[in-house]
Amino acid sequence: MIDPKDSGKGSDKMDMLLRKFFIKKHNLSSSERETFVHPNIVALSDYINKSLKATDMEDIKAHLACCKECRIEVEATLDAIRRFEAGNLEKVPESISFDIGSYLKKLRNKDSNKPPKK
Amino acid sequence: MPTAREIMEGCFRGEKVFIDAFHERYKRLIYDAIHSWMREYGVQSPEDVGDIFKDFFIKLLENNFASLRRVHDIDHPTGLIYLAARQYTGRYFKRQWIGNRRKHKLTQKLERMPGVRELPEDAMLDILKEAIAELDEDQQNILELLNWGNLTYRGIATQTGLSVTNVGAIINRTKREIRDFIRREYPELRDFFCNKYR
Repeated sequence: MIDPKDSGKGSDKMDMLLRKFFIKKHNLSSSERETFVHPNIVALSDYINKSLKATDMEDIKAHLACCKECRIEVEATLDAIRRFEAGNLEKVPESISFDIGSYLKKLRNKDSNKPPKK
Repeated sequence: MPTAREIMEGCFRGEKVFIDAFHERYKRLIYDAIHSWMREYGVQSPEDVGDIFKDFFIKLLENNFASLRRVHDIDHPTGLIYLAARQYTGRYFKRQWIGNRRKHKLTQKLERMPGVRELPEDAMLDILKEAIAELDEDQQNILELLNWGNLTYRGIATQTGLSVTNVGAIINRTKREIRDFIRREYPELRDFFCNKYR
């Protein structure tokens, strides 16, 4: 557990956690370290679209080879894109569909009621 | 019928007609992403699907599609939309877990110790990991040199070829971005990480 006495103000807590984070990372074996921080979803989607630089493509490929979590994300996304393009995705039940128009209206009314910034 | 590019650009401009088109075209994809995430991680909570679906759209609208603006190939946004919906689902359950845990802890222990907010360290580090993944490579390297290499700003400047002022500015910006990420994605932890900036 994090010792409350060890955590002072906001930035001190963050510094403490950042230090612990990197200590944890460097205590791992080199292969575990490879998968410790996952690529973000923008990088994964660029990988799927093959729109990354060759070196970045290789980096993600190496990460996917040893990271099951990211492999699941990429495989699920590729499968969904295939089903989306073939029009084979399940219909959204009426009960959970979202009235985007009225929400947008509400949001804009809220914004227009805000006092103007000085 | 508008193209994917027209829809995305229209959404970024906040035009209702394109936001409607986005909803119409991608709602099945988003629904599928939520379902598939729950299936793969063994979460059986059908009553949450509707809430996640609505919250995902609400968040997109409130943030002016911020999570999708980062798309590089605007003609093919499907992958990013799907991944963003899955990521949102994961965070939804993580937030729920944090919420329950804090409530549980409050009743058990923290009520007697007001002001102390603690969470298992692994959960905090896991959230920090998500925030760090959103940073660019240079920011990640500089954080590592500072926190693992124990280098001073001058040491980092020598190693990276940046000026000392520049290193300081990058570190401050990086920490601000981490705080902003936590404030945005895990508002329950805002006080823990961000009490200096309330």
